[in-house]
Parts: sequence; C-alpha cells; structure tokens
Amino acid sequence: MAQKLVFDSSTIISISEKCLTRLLKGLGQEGAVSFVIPQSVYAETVERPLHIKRFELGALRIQQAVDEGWIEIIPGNAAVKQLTGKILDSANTLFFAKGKPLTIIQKGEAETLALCKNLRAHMVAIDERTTRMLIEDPWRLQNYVAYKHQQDIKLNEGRLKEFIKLLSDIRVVRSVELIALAYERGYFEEVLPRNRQALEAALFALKFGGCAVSSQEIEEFLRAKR
Amino acid sequence: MALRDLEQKVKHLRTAFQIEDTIALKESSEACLQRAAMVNDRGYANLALIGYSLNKLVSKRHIVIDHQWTAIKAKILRELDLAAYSLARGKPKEFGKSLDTIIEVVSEVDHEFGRYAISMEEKARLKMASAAYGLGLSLSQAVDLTGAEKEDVQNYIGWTRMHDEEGITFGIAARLKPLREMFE
Repeated sequence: MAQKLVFDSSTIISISEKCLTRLLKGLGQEGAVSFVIPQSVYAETVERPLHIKRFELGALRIQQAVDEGWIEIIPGNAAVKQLTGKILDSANTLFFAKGKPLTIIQKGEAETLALCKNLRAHMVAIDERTTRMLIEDPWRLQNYVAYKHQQDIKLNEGRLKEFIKLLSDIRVVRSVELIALAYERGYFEEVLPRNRQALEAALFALKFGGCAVSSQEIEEFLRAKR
Repeated sequence: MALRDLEQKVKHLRTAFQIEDTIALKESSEACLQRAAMVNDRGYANLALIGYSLNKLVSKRHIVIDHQWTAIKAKILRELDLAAYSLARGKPKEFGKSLDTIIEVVSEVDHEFGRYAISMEEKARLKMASAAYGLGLSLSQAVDLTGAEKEDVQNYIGWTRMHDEEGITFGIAARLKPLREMFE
C-alpha cells in the first residue's frame, strides 16, 4: 500500500501559484506515495478561490490535479474531528503572555495534522513557518514570539508534553524539497531545462512565493549539489 | 479592561487622524495589530486595518486636496467618536458597526480616487495579515484574524525578509533525505 503525504494549503498554493504542478504530478503519479488533502484544504485552495478572479487560475490547476486523481481528498470523520480539536486546544494553550493563552494556529492547520495522524502518514507538507516550528522546535517559536512582541512568553510544560506526544513522529517537508526531489527524479525535463539554473530558479520562485525557506538554505543546498 | 483599552486605542487613533499625523496613525495601527495577535481579537484587528487605511488616505495629496475631503473626514471622525462612545457604554457590537461603517467609507473613497486593481481595503488586510504572521501567528490564523486572502498574504510574505531572519531548523538536504526514502 502506498504511503501517504498530507498537504497543507500553504504548500499546494506555493506550487500552484508558481506553475509547478506538473513537477509535483510526476511524483504523485509514481504510485509509491499518495498525495492527500483534507476536505478543508480543498475548500480553501479550490472552492473558494474559484470565485476570485485573481486566484482562479491557481485553483483550476489544483482542481485538475484532483480530477486526474493524483491528489486525493480525504473526507473528514469523527476521529479526525476529535483529533483536530485536541491539537487545536493543545497548540493554542502552549504559550502564555501575561497569563493569557496565545492563539497560534487555526483549524485548517490542525485538521491537516490530525489527518496525518489519523492516516498514520508520518509526513506532512507545510510551507508556512509557524505550524512547522511548533512541530519541530516549539522553544524556538516561543523565543521568536517573545522577541517579536517584546514580552515574556511562558511555555506550558504540561501542554508541551501532550503536544510532543501527539505530533513528534511527524516530519515536515516544504514545496522546495518536493520540487528538489522532482528535479532529482527527472521530471524537470517535461517542463523546464534539466539544469542547475532551472532548479535554482524554481526553488527561489517558491521562496518568493511565500515558502518558509531562507536564501541561505537554498544556496547551501545548491552548493552541495555541484 | 479590554473594552477600556480598546476605547483608548480608538481615541488615540482619532486624534492622530484629526491632525493627519501619519506617523501616529501608523504607530496606532501597529499597536492595535500587536494586541489583536496577542488576544486573538478582531476588534483590534479591524482598528489596525482602519489605522493603516486612514494613514494611506491622509498621505495621498490628490485625496486631501479634493473638495469632498472635509465631509469625508468629518464622517470618519464622527464614527470614531461613536465607536469610542459604544465601548464606553460596554456595547462592543455597536463599536463593531461603527468600524464597519468606517471601512465602507474608506472603500468608497478608494473606489472613487484609487488607481489600483487591488482595493485599499484588500491591501490593508494583506499588510495586517503579513504583520500578524511576522508576529508569530500561523498563516491561517493571521488570515482569519484580518480577513485577508491567503494567496495574497503568502505571496507578499515571500517578498519580505521574514523567512531569511528566522534561522534554520533543518535545511533542504536534511528534509529531502526522508522524502527520498519515502519514494524508494
């Protein structure tokens, strides 16, 4: 049975807005890994933007991927709903400023993580920074928020343990890693020249499209690829 | 306590708008947004949006020299007074209605005088959402709080240096390794 990779809306949007869906399609059609999204991500990336001229084209590209079957929508169920609530509650009572909890993430992000757990998927694609940092390094996020607000931010240790227990087995990838893999596996040839410049251009296009990756990361990766 | 603080912020914004102090309007907007992100409150977020929009209006010469400006400004000031009064009476719904009216007025002005395909309101929401993300909220939470479009926000964030200033948890090569294994 194929392993599953769950997508958050941020990654889908990055790839679609930069016209790189055909590269993702190559990976999706290999069959080794199924690309899945929760219903809410479909609503957010297709149903809603289809009615906004500015985003209609991107939405159509994603809709096509679903119609072709290489991105699958997983309808919500009671278990996912319950887990979504648990993740949301846990994440949004992790940090406290002046005794009040900070609402850090929203239902959509929590649902993506819940679906990942429910499917025993172990890997999630997220381009936005906060949810990723929350999973990988909540202490760094605590420091970041404290620095940005110029305020002491307390971490609820009990909640943190609960949160880590819930999500520590999930690994995060971003659109840049997916496109780098598409390059390695020869899918660039179908849409772009298969050379270093095209890879660099695609990775920077994703960064400038909002993927939470630094220029330094891209440059280090490209240097090592020489 | 929250309504009292909100009322103070409305009054501060009103004073800044009355004297057309762009720096004070900007500061007022930023303070409201920071508070919105901290307490997850749309009232503060809308006030931040208004502060940003009013700053944009007063800094556009072709708007403030127009003969309609005095009436427009008076209408906005009146609604800001009403907003503060509603909060003083403990009526947050009335306060919300006043903010909606101001947003409508700003949109009408923008429709008449604006030169861009994206409206001032959309741009203000986009800037507020981007700033909220910069303060540490997730993208969806920032969008939810400000009413911006996620695609716009994501794109705008990409133009900033935000993601270059955060340091690296795992680089591309480290993330690529398990992904490669998954596909083998």
